[in-house]
Amino acid sequence: MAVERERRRAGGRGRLGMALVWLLLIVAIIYTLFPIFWLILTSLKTPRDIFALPPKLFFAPTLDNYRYNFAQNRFGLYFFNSVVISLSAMAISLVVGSLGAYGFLRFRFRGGATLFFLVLATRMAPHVALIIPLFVMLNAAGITDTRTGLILVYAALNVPLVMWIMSGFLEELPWELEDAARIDGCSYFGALWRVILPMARAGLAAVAVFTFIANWNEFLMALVLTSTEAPRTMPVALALFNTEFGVRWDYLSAAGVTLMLPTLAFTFLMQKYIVRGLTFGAVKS
Amino acid sequence: MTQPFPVKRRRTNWAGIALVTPALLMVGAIIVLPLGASLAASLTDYELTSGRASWVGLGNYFALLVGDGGDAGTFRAALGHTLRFSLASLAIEFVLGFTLALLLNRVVRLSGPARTLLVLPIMVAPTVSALQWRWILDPDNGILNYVGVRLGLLSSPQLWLIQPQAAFWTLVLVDVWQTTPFVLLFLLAGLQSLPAEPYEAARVDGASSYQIFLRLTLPLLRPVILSVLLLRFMDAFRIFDIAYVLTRGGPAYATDMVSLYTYRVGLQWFAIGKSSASAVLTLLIIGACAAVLLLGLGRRGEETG
Repeated sequence: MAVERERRRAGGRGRLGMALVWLLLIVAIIYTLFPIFWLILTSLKTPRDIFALPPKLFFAPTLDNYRYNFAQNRFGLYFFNSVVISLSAMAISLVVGSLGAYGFLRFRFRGGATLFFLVLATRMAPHVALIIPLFVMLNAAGITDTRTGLILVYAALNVPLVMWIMSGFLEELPWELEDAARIDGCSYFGALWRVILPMARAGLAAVAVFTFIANWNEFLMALVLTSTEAPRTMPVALALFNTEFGVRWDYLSAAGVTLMLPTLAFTFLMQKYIVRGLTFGAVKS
Repeated sequence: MTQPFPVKRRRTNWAGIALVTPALLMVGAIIVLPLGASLAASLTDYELTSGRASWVGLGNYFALLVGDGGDAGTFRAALGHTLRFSLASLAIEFVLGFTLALLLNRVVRLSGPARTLLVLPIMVAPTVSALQWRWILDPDNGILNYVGVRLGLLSSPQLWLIQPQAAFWTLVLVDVWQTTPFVLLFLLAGLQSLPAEPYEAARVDGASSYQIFLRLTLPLLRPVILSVLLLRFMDAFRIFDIAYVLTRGGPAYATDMVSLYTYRVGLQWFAIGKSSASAVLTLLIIGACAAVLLLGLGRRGEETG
């Protein structure tokens, strides 16, 4: 750590260098935050304030746009759909994926390593290559345009990610404890439930947030696999909102913020895991 | 990830099979089977409206790559836009992300909060990113036109999404805003994992910061840089959400992308065979990148381990 500090200080070239570094960083931070800030600000304005020129920085904030969205624009339904679909799919992929990761890690199969690798590799499959067959399959099963259909698809799409992250976490657990539990007479699943699960909790939490956000933000599948309002999720509602009612920036901005806020909160909390989750392990973090 | 498991493993039994079967079934049914179906459909002239399908071999691929030509609205035009979009985004994101990573790596105090603020866009839904920028670029009430005209940078308010060039660069801009944080985080993780010894040696030898960067940091980071470029290219090539919300390929197909083309031909024109061929070509391009990435990672794993 001391070496690290030393290296950085030597590279910083004193106070002037540091000031320049910070100046550039602050410009970058403003550029990063401005669109978010501006959308939030707009969502708190009345239509009259929104269309005022010059744009108003100071105004009497109101939650009317949010209220209207939930009461009149059926955003209550879309929000509910997004929550139910994202959470259910997350739960399924978490259970299926982490059990799968554990199975591949703890048991020898013929060709197990190759199979595991192939499952992980499916994470890179472009979704656009799946949409038409999935549409036809779900149609044949009678679950297009339902929450159930989307839940199944989202759950499966996240299984490789869950397996990838969980196998990383599981590898680092002290496995002697599980063996000890087995010797004490626990069954496979007893040992898994009482010994491994409590230790893997941090990993599970990270994966849970990750898959939740992936589901929450997903657009293409939801656009293709739903058509009516009943199972519509928020990203689709947001995209269709544009065309159906013309551009109503008051409602639209509030809808956008509703969709964005949970993900911003999670990004704060989950930074440590972001690189690992998004990169298929190309960098160990 | 191809390294052998360090955990002591049991020979398989019913419990092992019970554990992995659900995962294999789900991935098989929802990812692998549809990929196979797309591949099969791409060799037919299947149309959803008529329901008839007959074998056409590589006819669809021939049509996409040669027969249809390269005019607006064709696959080749979309492919051209997608490649241009991917490379432009990649170049800008890499320069910005690398610069910011190097800057953050120099900061000792407050680097945590600065990083947190810089990475916020990373998990914002692409549909919302697109929406934010659409509002900023709004012709009548957008703040960009207002400030631009006020400061004399624009002669008149611009219709950003109606002009082909401006619309294209708007897509690049939104993608850069959304994904530069990813490049930043990735390269920062790489920078922070570099060994300290070579740097001390270089400094003792009197090397300048510039020399150290060029001769030491860049070569040491090469695998990380290649990984991030490949990962980002694969992502950028798949662009759908942002383009759908901002331009839908318009004006007049000027920002049409391969994913939009696949979607349109398959789900609006119901030409499943052709759309599937387009999807398979996407899969091949992404798959080639993935193979390079994974092989590179595997080799690196062998070298270090």
